[in-house]
Amino acid sequence: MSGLSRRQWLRETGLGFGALALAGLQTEQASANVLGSRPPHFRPRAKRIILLFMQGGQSQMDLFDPKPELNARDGQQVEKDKGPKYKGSPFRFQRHGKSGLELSELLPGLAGSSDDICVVRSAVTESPNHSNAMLYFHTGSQNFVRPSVGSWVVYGLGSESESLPGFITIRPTRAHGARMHSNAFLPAFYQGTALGHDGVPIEKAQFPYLTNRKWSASQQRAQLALTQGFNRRLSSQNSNPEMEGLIESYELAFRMQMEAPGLFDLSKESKHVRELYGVGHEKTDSFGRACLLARRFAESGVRFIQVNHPGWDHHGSIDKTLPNTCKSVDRPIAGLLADLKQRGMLDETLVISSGEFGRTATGEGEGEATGRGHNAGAFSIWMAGGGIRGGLSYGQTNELGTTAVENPVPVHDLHATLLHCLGMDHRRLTYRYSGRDFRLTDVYGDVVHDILI
Amino acid sequence: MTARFTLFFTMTLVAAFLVADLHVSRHEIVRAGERDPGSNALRAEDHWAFRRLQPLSVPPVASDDSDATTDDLEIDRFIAAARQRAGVESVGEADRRTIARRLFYDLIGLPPTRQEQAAFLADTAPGAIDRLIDQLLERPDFGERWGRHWLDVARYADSNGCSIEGNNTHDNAWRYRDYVITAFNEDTPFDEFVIEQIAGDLLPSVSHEQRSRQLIATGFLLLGPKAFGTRNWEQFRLDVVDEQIDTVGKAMLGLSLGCARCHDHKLDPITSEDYYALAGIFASTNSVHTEKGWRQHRTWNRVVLPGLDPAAAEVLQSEYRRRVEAAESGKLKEQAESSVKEAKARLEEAKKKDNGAEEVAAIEEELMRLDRAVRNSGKAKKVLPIVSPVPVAMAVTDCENPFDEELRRRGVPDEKGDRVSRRVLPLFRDGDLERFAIPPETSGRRQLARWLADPKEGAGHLLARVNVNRIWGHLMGRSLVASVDNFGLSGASPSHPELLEYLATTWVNDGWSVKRLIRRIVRTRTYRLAAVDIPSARKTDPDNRLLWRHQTRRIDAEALRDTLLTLNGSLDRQRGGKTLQHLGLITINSDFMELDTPSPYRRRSVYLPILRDALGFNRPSDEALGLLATFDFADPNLVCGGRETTTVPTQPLFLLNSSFFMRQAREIARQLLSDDRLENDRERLEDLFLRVFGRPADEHELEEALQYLKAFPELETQSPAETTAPGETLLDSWASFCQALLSTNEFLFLN
Repeated sequence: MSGLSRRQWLRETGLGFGALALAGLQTEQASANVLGSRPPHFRPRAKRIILLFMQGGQSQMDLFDPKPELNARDGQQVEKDKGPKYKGSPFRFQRHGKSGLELSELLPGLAGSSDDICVVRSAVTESPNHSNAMLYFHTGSQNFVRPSVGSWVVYGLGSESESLPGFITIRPTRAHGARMHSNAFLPAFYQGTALGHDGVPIEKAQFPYLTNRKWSASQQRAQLALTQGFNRRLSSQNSNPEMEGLIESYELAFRMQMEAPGLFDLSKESKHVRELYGVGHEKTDSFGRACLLARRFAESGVRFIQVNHPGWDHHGSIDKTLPNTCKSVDRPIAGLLADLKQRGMLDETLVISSGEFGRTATGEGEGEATGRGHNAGAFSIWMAGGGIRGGLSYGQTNELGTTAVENPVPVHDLHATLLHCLGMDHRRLTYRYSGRDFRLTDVYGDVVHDILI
Repeated sequence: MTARFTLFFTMTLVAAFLVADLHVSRHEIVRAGERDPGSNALRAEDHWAFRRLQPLSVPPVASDDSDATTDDLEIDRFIAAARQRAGVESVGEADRRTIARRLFYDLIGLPPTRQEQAAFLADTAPGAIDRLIDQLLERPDFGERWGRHWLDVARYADSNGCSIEGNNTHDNAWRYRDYVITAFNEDTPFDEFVIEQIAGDLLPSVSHEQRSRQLIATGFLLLGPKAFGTRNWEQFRLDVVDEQIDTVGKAMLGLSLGCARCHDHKLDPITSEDYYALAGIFASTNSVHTEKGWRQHRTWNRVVLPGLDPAAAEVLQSEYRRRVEAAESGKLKEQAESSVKEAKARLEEAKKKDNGAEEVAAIEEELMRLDRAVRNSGKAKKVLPIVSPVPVAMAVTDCENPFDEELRRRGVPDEKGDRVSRRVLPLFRDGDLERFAIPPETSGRRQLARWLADPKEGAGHLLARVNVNRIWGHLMGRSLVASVDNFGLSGASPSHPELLEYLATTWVNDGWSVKRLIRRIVRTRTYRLAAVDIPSARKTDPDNRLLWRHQTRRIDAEALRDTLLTLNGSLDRQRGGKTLQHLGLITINSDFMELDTPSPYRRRSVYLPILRDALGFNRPSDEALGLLATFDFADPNLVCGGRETTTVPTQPLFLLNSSFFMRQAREIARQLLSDDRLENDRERLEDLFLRVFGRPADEHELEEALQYLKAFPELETQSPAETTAPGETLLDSWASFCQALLSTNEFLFLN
């Protein structure tokens, strides 16, 4: 396609970044349609996903999955006179809402939305090891380099935003690397854009290169005009898609630079809304801001938004530390769900909260210092909105909460289900690389229809 | 539900229910590991890439093609013939300036200086271009450019990537990087280069230098991402083997051998048995082992390099002991802390001075380094004991008792099948595989390496095709086979099949000389074509697959950075050596910013430490890595024989706002303004255009520039007190102008 007709075509179809990103690509699939904005396979329930990633592994038996039998065995040794001791949960569970969904006292805010959320108690993963399990959760593979679930989603559906990336991850942890939001072999356009990282306070988190410390807007406009003048003169002599793509993306970048900072200005939100998320309160400020940003990104058409919260790896003193960690997320999450709902956005936004695995029924350490280890056999996640049946608890674990025994939901099934909510068949969302068609779910995955409306 | 439950945990054959389209069917899972005498092998016999190289006749010059001349080289005739068949005319040749710029970037990855360009333009005698080509091929910069292309293929990285909480640094990977650069500079025959990387440790040598080089070359097998955190050792070991097999397959042969781990290859004639025959070869190789002191108690294989003089070794040992003692007694920390204290005092003094701004900046930078040293000193106690005091390489060796690997059904470690004898692949029916029979007491890497490089009996013809295609792609911007790392049955067909055969054949006959191959390609008329448009040709062949014009390409990340540093004269030309200036090695962990990269780091980009999985995080402390990540640097997790060029908004944002980019532009402006030889703005602009574009400015451009410089100071500034130092208004205008010029397509693209 010639430069001019490409630009015209871009404008006419309004494909935005997605089309630009593919200018000049020579992928194996280039002959097929790899354009960003593809219609879903069937009518979607959700338009976008907000993933609240609880990194470290939440304790299911203390938060989502009450286990009276475990509590009864509290302090007993697993084998007579040797081995670790069982650790019951000191936290009370209560039924909430019309549905009577059981949740721990540590999550009073989330309990307010109990009729909207579905708790899956029988999620299972492959590895009790942070990195492996995180890779598995994010990419469906713990040992191979595969695209992140957010990249797959944007590859499948494209972005609706003209001034923001389609896949944003807020404050990812540096220690686990960019592979959690990496496009791997998908075109680079589909990579997740990190907004800061865990070493940067949320109010300072920025997209890379979005602000200029030196030039004012008018100075940059003059500069840009000069650059683009040179570019247009060159194009009139020699037009080609690669160069046209860069000319066009300059305009988009500048628009992004002008518009995106406004999105970060939370003072534009009413006091009521900020309160809802716990912004301005010591414990909840950081995650509250992140959740509020997530809602603003969602409004702007970002397809996949991930909000990361590290700190769930409670190996020690869990009775004290878990309530603390819960406090930092509970109100912001309640705020997010309530805010989405009152704006009529919850129906079209799939909210998922999950860690990479669960925790053990046995304790680590002694007395007050006791915590819980890693467990891959069962963990609890919850979902809300976007086609999910609320007020439901799905799946069962054994009496100790450590192994899924009824309706287990492997990570591949979870992936299949969230693609389904977005209107995509996980078996048809493929990308050809190295001579093979790859899928997020590899050769696995079943949609969990029981939890859908 | 019970069925699904069983499925997930035991991975039984019921998995077939879930399987769709191109993936493993139930039937195939059942058959996994059984040799399929059927379709794949039959189809493969006819597959163009698997056929042996045949002598070819070069097409004659067509008399009715006005574009062709009798001077055309053989390559041109193949191109012309294909073009004529499609009825597409070609453009004329580019001007000499353009050709020179192309040659500089393509061969050495740097722009010509004004002097170099002037010298070339002044050389009007016949053969000037050939002379330039020969000069460039002989420069050591050549290896830095072309070595990097191979490092993309070798998924080179200076760290292992994230696994568990750490990102272990490959403290000795730099030796492999330098080996590759040297190999390209010395024009090591490519077959030998490949053999060394697979089996260098098993080859005979006549000197310590040669032995070292051969050992270092095998680092190729260890550079990949290794999931050290995997609990199950058997799984981990087989995953490492798998990564090696897959990399060798893609890097050398353009085949995805890894596909056959769980089932027979879907399309190519590679069975699970073939895979496990290779797995035995790599499993019998020392690649990873457990070792106390390392994170996860696992590490890759290291070999002490031969030839160290005993006296020199003693010096190293005693220096090392001294450091360990200092670390253990806490002296290291004390020293670091007292240096910080001392620097802080100097800082206070400098701040009191009227014109101490530069001194303050220098001390602040020093303080950052010293602070880092304090933080690192705490860890030294843990780290130093496992650092080798004498030179070691990341290298493999044969294990003591080589063995055959058992087939694993569906790739699951516990589901063992029969043992499969170690052997090379029976991919090509007409090769004599007996020549590569593996003696039981060796791993078989040497036989595998010989097989890979042997074009008559082994896979050398495929090796030649795959790598000729990559080299062509780097120079022409269009590969003959679009799927550069996939030459299997699902790969793309070549746009010029005969030309590919011709290039591969001549390359092998030339003794696999990369330099001669490159010279052959860049001497053609096809290479010299202009990058202009012909509407009729564009209509027939919009993607320029027929090469009717030169393919415009954006300069890559390394060339961009190296050019900026060249333009302001700050490029540090020191070559080779360790660049991961760290405590020595080990986990980067969440504090991977502790890496003590000299700041500002001004060596060529090929020497930047590549931290796997950390490129995507743009931190101010390593903007250079941010530049690489932004401009399509190859993902060091994957074999990459040809990078994609993407256009994403982060790129213009980088050009508009990155402080690295702005600093380079400002430095150029500063130099222009302080150059006494330039008397006025007009002369400064002329000089700048020559430097940046390699051509004089035209009158219109000069006028526009002068106006810009005049108007810029009148524009509203961001917040004057903060951003503009007094007396820097002029510098600001020029810096802004330079930045704009460096952001243009004319600068960023090779035409």
